[in-house]
Amino acid sequence: MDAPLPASAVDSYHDAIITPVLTVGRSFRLWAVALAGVVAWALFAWTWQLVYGLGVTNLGRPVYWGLYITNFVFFIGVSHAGTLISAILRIVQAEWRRPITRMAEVITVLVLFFGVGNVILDLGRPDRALNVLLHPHWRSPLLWDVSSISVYLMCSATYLYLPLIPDIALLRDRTTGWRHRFYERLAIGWTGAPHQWHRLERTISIMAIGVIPVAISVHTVVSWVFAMTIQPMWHSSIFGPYFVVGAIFSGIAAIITAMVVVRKVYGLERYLQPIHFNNLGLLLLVMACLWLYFTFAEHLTIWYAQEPNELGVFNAKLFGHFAPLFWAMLVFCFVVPFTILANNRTRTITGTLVASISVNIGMWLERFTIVVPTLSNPRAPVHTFLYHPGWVEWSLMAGCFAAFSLLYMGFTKLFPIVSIWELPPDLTPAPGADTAGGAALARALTPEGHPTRTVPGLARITLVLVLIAAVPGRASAQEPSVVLTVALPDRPTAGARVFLQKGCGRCHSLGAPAAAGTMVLGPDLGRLLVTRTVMDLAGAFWNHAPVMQEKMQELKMTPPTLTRDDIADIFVLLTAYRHYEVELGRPGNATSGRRVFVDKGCAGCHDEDLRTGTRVGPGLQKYRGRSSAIFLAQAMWNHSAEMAAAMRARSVPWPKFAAREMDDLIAYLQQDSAQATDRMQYFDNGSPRRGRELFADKQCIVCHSVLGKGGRGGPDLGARTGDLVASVATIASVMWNHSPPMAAEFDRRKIPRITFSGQEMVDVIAYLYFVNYTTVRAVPARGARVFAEKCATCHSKQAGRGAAPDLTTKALFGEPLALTAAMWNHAPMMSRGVGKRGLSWPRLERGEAADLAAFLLSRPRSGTLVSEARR
Amino acid sequence: MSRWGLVIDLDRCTACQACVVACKHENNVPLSTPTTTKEGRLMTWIQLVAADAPGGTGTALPLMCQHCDRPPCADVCPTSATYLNPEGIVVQVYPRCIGCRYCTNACPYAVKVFNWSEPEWPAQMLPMRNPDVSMRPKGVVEKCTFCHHRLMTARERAKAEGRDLAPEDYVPACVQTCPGEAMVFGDLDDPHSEAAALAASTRAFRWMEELGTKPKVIYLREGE
Repeated sequence: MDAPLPASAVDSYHDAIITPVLTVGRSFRLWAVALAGVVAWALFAWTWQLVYGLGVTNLGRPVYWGLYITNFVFFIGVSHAGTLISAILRIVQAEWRRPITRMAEVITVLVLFFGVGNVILDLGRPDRALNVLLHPHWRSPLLWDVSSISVYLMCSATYLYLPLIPDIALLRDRTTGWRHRFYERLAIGWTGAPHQWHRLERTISIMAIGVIPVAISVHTVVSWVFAMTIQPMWHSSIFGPYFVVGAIFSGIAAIITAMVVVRKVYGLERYLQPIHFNNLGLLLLVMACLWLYFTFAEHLTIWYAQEPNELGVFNAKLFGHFAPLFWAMLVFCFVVPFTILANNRTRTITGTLVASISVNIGMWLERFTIVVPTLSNPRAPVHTFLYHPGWVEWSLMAGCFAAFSLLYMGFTKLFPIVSIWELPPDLTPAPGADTAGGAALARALTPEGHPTRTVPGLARITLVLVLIAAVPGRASAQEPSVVLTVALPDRPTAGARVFLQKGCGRCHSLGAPAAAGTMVLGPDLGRLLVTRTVMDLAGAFWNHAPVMQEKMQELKMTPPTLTRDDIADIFVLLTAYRHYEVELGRPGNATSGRRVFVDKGCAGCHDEDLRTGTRVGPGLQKYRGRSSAIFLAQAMWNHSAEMAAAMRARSVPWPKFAAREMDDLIAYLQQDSAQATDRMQYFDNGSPRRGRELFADKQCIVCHSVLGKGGRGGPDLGARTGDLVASVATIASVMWNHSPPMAAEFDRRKIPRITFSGQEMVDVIAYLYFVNYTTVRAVPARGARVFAEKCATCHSKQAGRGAAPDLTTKALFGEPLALTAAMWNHAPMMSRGVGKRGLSWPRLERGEAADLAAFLLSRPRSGTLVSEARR
Repeated sequence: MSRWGLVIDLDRCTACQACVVACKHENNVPLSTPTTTKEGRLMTWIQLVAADAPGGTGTALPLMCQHCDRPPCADVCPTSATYLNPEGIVVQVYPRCIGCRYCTNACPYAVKVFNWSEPEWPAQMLPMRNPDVSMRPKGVVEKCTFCHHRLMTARERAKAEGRDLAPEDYVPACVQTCPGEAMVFGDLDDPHSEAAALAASTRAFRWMEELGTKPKVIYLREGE
């Protein structure tokens, strides 16, 4: 029934987004070459124009503006795709926007360059373009354009860049070579620390609000370039809003077109779902109606007034030379999109694509029929002519579109085109979800003793629930135990964002005294005694739910709803916090540290006053200002061989440290340090994922196994829950204490000395910590008893009508944290139910949460597993 | 300070286009052909157009820059390359012009022209170009300047001779040439000038004055 999962099944769900960034395929190259060819041709045409002047275009008197200005207005219009739309959707918290914002924002930034570029193409003296800045004449609407567009470009570039930072940091951690250096620079030191998330979220929300008036101003002043003149059918007071509406209209169409292409090419079907096209399609439909309204109003007023000059232009547009373009515009901008989008059955992905392309063509025609007919029908009876753009103009237009596509493609090869960190939780692969990306990860628990059931990629970022041959632990000999495994976190600090977003931070502080003047409502979660494993923490959460609820009711607050991922992130954050407690400055006792220094015999070799290196060992003054156990652990580890030799020569016994002694030792080494606390050096948060790689790379895995996988000789490091789910100092002391026997083993196996850099040390320690934290041994049979005792009163068939859902016959959840999330979210409701029945809140003791989860998850799942069993 | 203006008596105008030719020669305006004209590339600072005078009578109108007191072209120029100078002449600064052609589009009279290409001259005509008028490079806008170079020359001569500028010292080439003496140039603010007197005539009209551009080229209706 339970075949090994395909490799793809355990792939990170980010990979669908990240892989296209890091790989370049054949069709990409072909397209790039083809587009580059078009761009090269356009460059040739531009050179031609620069040499021979604008005479090579088909412009003339009085049609002084043509294709270039049309394209300028069109491109600036399309630029409203991104920033404006994504900002509006962000502000109204339209959650479905998340996978599409990045795509839209890139369009904005790139297309602005082509908007501005077309004005440069249109200049008779592009070499003097800077005169606009050197001798600005502020009464000219063109100057307003220059100002507004520059601000917009800067804002939208920032607005694109800010949400990119976490994703750049992600790429930084996953790449090597030039890409690593490139991302490192761009990530500007992003570590995902809580204060960084806080700042980022805050800045993005400010930008989202600020960018909207700027975007509206941009297309308004673009329209004013025309409306501020007194020329017939340009001089219109509704041009501002008319252009803004048209801009948003064509912007949405551009997004949809780009989305379809990106989705198809990079296989992002999982992220860009029909709902996105449906919603954007509806938005496009609304804009089509709005556009028709403006167009109608604009033309009706002119026709009604019958002013001869205006009427000349009007007739040329509707019935004269420009009639084919005008009526085509009406069909492309309204008839086609309205017909398609107003109908549920045709508002499909293909349907919206057709509508969008139609709108893009129509809006381009609209720009053309605004710019050219007025110029072709001047007030003065001078000779006029029918303007047909020439080859240079068409070539440059093609070049603009090609260069835009090329840059857009290039962007997708440098950055994820979907904002990974902003993805909603429902896009993470749900257990049991039947998707091609291989998210069907959850599997039923099977009894102990089937090592063939092991699943590759145990500690992927994806959430995995696997059964492996369990090591006898707390479980009694008769009752089979299982191991529940939750995925290793990549960024232990990711939960900080959830912590703030969900409002936990409004009541709880995290290891810091509450700021002056704020009310302390909940306990400081930084001081929480995080007990052993993830499931024990889940139990603690459960137990505090009714207390919290009571308090929140009192304060008229709504308890936050948490998704599985929220729970996972918060848990990891709280645990990680404890893990790094020493990093964050838990004080040791310097006096005790001095005693440790003397008692353990350190003083025999190292100078006691720590200043000079007169004795055998080096002076230790360099550790001043490095308030981290990591530095000490790293130094001690890397020099353990020399130290061991020196100590053997002096017959000093190998000192062993307890965790507390390590802390004190650090405090002692720090004493009299002139460094201010905030100038002390810390390490980046460790990444358990990198740690796992290092564990293999540094050959730890040759001797040590983790959860039954790996070499023999050393102890299984996954079986030391008690030892290693502890502070950094503890893990460091464990490593230190066992280094002599390990060094002997190295010699025997002829393994060269292994040293760690500071960051590597952090990562390995983080791995050892989290692999134990995420691995929970549990006994389903015991869970069954807990269930019978504490839950079955309501959650069973016997409970009768109006009772809670029956959980005894089938499992509703695929993995432990989904269960935890469901328990958390139903706590308020259950609290009422419990109160009604006069029961007390069922508290879960240590270990009971794990057992209960194991029991509930071992129920047969409805759906896939049942059918698999039949097969 | 003078406020230069031009009065054109349509009753005297014979549509001989001598003014057009004079202007071309005086100001080094490049030559055009019927073909280039069809393509919209006619280079001229003054031309005869068929227009309706107030009252609906069709007429041939010598059309040049109207030197508006409220010039729409100067408003929209992003670099102040075209502006109304203190003497009422709308000037064009060629070295500053970036060639965006916003002014040509904003001008309701369509009297500003753009140098689409480097001007070409038949070899024989090269020595005939006026050394007092600067040549325009490709990519900039140009227009009637009321022969501003003549004003500068006249002013310098008057200064050298130690006297004030006399009305006859400064007349544009078109006015000087007009065989029917249909054109009168002068200071509109000078109550004694002939131009000012004619501008006050009941026959006087300013073309498209309903746009509020306040032109300083004043036409005198035919008849009466």
